[in-house]
Amino acid sequence: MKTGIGAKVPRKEDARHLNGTAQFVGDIKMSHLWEAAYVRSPLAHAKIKSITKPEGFEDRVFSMADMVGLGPIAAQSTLPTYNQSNHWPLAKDKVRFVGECIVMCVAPTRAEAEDLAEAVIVDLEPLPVHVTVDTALAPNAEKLHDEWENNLFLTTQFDTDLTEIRKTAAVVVEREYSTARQCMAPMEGKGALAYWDGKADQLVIYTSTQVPHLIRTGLAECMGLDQGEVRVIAPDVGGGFGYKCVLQPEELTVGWAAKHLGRPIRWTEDRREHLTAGANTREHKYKMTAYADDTGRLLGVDADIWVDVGAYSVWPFTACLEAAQAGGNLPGPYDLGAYACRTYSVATNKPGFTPYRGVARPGVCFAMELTIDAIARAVGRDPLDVRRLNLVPGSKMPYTNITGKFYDTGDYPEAARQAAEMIDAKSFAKRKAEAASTGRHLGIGFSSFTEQSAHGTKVFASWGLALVPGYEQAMVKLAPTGSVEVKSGNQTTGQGLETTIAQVASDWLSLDISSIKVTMGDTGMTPYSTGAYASRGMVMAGGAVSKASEELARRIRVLGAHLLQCKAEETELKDGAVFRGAASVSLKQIAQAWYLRPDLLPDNIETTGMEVTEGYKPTIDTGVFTYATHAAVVEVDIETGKVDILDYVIFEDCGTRVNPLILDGQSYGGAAQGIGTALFEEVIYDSAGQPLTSTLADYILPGPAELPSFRLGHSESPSPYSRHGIKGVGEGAAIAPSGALVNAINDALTPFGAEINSIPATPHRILQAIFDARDAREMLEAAE
Amino acid sequence: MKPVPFSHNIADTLQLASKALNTDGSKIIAGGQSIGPMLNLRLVRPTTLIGVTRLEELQKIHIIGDTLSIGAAVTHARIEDGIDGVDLPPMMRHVARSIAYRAVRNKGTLGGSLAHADPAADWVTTMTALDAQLVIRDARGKSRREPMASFMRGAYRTGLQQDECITAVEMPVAMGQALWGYDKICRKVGEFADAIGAIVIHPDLKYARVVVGATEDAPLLLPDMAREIARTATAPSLGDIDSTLATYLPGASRVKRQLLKTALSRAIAKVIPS
Amino acid sequence: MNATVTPSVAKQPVSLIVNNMPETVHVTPRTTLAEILRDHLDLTGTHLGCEQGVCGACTVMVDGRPERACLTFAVSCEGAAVETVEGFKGDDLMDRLRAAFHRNHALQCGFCTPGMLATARDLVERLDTADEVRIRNELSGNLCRCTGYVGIVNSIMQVIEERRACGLPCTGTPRLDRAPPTGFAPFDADIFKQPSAPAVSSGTMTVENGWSVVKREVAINHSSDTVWAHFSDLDAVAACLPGAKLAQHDDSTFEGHISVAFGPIAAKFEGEGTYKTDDSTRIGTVSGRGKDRGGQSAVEGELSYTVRRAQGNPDASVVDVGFRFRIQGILGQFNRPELVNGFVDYILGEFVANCDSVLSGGELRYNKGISAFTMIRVIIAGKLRALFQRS
Repeated sequence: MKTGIGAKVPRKEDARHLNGTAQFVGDIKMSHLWEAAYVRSPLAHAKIKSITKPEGFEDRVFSMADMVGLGPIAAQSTLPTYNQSNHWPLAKDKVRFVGECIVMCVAPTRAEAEDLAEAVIVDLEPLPVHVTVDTALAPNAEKLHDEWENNLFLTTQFDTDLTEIRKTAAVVVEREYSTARQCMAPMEGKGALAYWDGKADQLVIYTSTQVPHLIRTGLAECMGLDQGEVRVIAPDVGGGFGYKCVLQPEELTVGWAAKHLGRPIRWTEDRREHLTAGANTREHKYKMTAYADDTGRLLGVDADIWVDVGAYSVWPFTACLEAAQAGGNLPGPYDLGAYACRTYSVATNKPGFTPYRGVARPGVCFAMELTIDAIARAVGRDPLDVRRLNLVPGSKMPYTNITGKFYDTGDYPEAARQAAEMIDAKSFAKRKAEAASTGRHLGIGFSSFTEQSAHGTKVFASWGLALVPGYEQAMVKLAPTGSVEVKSGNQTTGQGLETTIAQVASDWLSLDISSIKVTMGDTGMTPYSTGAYASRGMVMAGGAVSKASEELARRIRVLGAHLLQCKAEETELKDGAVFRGAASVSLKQIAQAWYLRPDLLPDNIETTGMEVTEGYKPTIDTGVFTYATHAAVVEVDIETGKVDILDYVIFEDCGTRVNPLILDGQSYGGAAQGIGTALFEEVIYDSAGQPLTSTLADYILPGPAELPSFRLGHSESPSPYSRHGIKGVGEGAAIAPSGALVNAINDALTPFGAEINSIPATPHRILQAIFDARDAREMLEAAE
Repeated sequence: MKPVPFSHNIADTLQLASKALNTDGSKIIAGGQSIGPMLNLRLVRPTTLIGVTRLEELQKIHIIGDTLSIGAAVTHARIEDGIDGVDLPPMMRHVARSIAYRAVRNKGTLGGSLAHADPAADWVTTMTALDAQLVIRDARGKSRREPMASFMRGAYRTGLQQDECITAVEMPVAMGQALWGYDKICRKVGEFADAIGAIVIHPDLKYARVVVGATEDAPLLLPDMAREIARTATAPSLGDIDSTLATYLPGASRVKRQLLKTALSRAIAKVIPS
Repeated sequence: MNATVTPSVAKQPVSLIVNNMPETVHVTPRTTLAEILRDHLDLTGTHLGCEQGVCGACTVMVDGRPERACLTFAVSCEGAAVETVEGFKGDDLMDRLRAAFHRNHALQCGFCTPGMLATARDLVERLDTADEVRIRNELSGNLCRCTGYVGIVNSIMQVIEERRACGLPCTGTPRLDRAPPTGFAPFDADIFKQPSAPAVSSGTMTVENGWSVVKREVAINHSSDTVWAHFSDLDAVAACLPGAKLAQHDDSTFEGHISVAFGPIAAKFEGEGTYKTDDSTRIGTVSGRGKDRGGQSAVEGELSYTVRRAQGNPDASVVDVGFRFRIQGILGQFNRPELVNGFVDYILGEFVANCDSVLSGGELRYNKGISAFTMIRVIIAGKLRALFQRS
């Protein structure tokens, strides 16, 4: 069975998970290992007046004052209006969100560490709290960071002139939208285990991260260590989704404690910690005005976007990546002539905003897709037709959009058409009418998006990040036994990279992936990579492995040619051997000649060896664009407000499909998370900034019974700018569900005059919308 | 999320279990599926746990005369499966299978759920609808019976004294032939109910009961509605249900009332064809 | 305020059989089965995903049935036969499941997989047919964040089909079928009357700017002079508030604690506050701040009361009680203020009964330590009910 690019092979990663031998941070055994627990702030905003340690345990209990040498997490940005925040790993003078670490306690077991933690007395003096962007931006609002002028991390704007359009547009649609604060909720929480390796004179930290090399850089910086004094190892990581792509305070304090106590220290995030202190993403608010002609053709969009970014700026992606992405991506896959947008990254008393699967686009896609449907209703056309009218057609590719995004390949209206066909949109009206005759309320909804993936140097630099990704590196080596070793500094957190990058090497080296050993995520063993985020893993790590494998294949042929006594050009690498006509030498023979029997080789051979490290980035920095249309049919139970997803289809184009099995899995999983965003997930705060959803019974993740049997369709428009035409795919499916589902819900609610513009679309929100519409109608009738 | 230190005794006689309860900070643990998370969250901070599920007496399901007796430590799964050689009321088997998840049902117990008295739990409403009697024993070995319909005083409040323990739940065997309807509305399969409606009708016993659960308080009996349903053998209108609920639950939000109304009307529809 | 570390409890031996091997571990009683497996037997395949009984990652087979290893404490494991993901050696159905999970891409990060396999193993044995809707419902106690469950559901369906193809019966009992409603002949029912709680007060409960605000009007059968004398005496008021204990006070400030119990939840708030009483208006206010366990949770509250003469009865009075409070920190991270209403009547009933008793020259009634502050707990417990309804 061929296992190269395009092969639907099961994963190399599976076996260890299926027999229970995988190793997550929490699974690591080490002698003298102690566990950490934190005293976390019970208040959202307060001055720390005093900290009293339990008597007799002072050597196991640490405040920031004890952690000499440890600096704050201070994400920098080159953008001119940016305000920087200092996030001390343990709060120093002030706490700014519920769950912020104040004191670290260590003990032989977690239970004992928690016994210590609850015996620490922290005296706090409450300060006014900002739970919404509105109060944070009010005149004379209490400031989170005293040295700032207000509570804004950053404002940005895009501006084209809308004056003429405002005067002439036949249709004007105005809406306000909002999306809830969410937790990313990987099944494995964050975790870190550190110890000082005396022999290597090095701090070794096992951490549940997507970005081991970045963590090494950040950790060294904050701890005042040289990079050589830090080794970061990402073992098995139980889901990331963005949550594990930033430097976390606990990683720093675990590192400090391990170094100063001279013993391994581990912290394992528990679910309550995650659902409170880790509630750090997705919260947007929109005020949008869209202008269209009487056919529904979009003329311009004017938008204000507020991102509730919480108290601190995360390192390295800052509090501002989200708003930059929101402003830049709102026009999405649409051919839009005029666009004005102002974004506000507002500091509030919540955990610092961290980019989550889809980064801003689930929000902007939701806003844009609802707006498209609203325009369709305003002009009396089918939303699908209005969508297709406005999507960038294949004939315009490549296409540079209004915010300067360079769409490389594809046919966006065609994806919408395919999705409509898959869900049988043509006969939906009939189906809906039949259901209505038995008192059931169906609705159909569509949602289209583009997913910028593997965007690189210039894009990140334009967002002002101090740390900008460049060339991704990978090492590929022919081992003495004729098998291949691949080392990548990227990291897999479940997306199957160990399999897919092996498939890329398999293509070049003609070996089955079972003979290709992939090592990732260990800074001591792998070349530098900024890691797994921005749907870049397969494009970047895959590209780098491809480039290195190509070069290794060349070197193998050169050596093979020596052994076959011919010129390299006369040889061919196939089926695990170098051939010259019918004569061949196997990779094993070649490897053995190089490593063990150099006497078989002439003196004047190439000495570069059987280990190749290459750096790679696509020929453009602007990213390669995956795109898709999702379509959903829902039934809304108008007596309970419950939404039943009857059908859900995805038509997607992500360029070359390296492994269709894994790729479908990414789509299913992404869509499942998007459905969580659309219908279920919401961190609720009271007005004092207390998170009220501290268990999984309060913060609802969709389970198997809440999710549909997804159906997928694909086209392939490879990118000319990336190796093998690969485009990123990890985030995409999480982007569209809110648009598709809420459009479908609103379609079902049309007879009731109700409309949902806030997510999650919970039964409570749906019932309330129906009641509000009914009240409004009754008031109107009474007035007449 | 680890519990505070506690001792844990497995009672081998009921008497000892009840006696141990007289100690400050002691708490019965049955299946532990409700108390377990509360322990892990350190909200419940016992000095001693007293396990009762191994007491054989609490495990029995049997019929004495015309009374069905179900031991307090019988698990939801045993009720769901109905494999104990004694016919259980179909309503109980139906309700059992919708409680949480199988792994929870394998441990969680009937008596534990009633003693915990969570307003949104299934058994407090179901047992009220089925006119169950609780058999309660104290430290001196004295037993008493209390009807479920009055046992729960409010959210998490019951008629249990500190040294008392539920040993069994009883009901007339004839309840197995009752007409019944049960409807539960929750956001996610297995999660807590936002609204529960239950109705049990047994013309031969002249029995009619209508109960609304998950009201944030003890299950609510609607006696007038029950009498009227029995008298007319027709379902009340949605408007009637709504105004009845508005009378009994003046503080309930419009959404809450809507959900309770729907659950109740759907339960009734399972008994009376529309 | 002095915080002390709760003393530990001695370890004790627990013997159980794990993956067919007899094992004895020495653990403290608070150790869960999951920790016995992971920390004491090095079987780290069983994962802890929430420790709240919801996610199912820790599901293992105990005596042949799936159970939550995070909710099973050490002592109750005595004698149990446990099978974990590392086990199932030679188990045909588990071998088939593993193969199906691999083939169907039923795992990504792999963290939920051990628990999924345990639940799946139970399902493929127990379910008669590969009914997708039922499988999805039965699988609801296991959360996966990566796969959207597609491969998992398909795997279970395929292995059920494989089992059937082998001619192996399911072990589960068939579900009862429901016949459509048939109705009944009208009859006169004997109706049980629920004893309604005595109406001791009337009032409202609202949430205002993050504060829960309770307002109640309470009738007391004593003259307003007597009642005010009682209500203007902090010691007397505190004595009637179940669970409250004054450590010391002067004429405007106090220190003390209040023990709170709601269902199985108990907390003790220590703190200080101020109070004032005005003889001319007969208005009293008590406000205070307290902390539980070193400040992990904090409560702030203000109690105010106005004593007036009942209309038309000089020997009776009416007290308007207002109470606003909020709770922050771990104990406040669950919210359900609407639960308070029913409970407040009960609390005030206890309080008023105590006051009545004292004013009549009697003793304080027996109480179970429930206090006015207990209403705070209603909020907490309400939000938690989701977790705790299942015992």
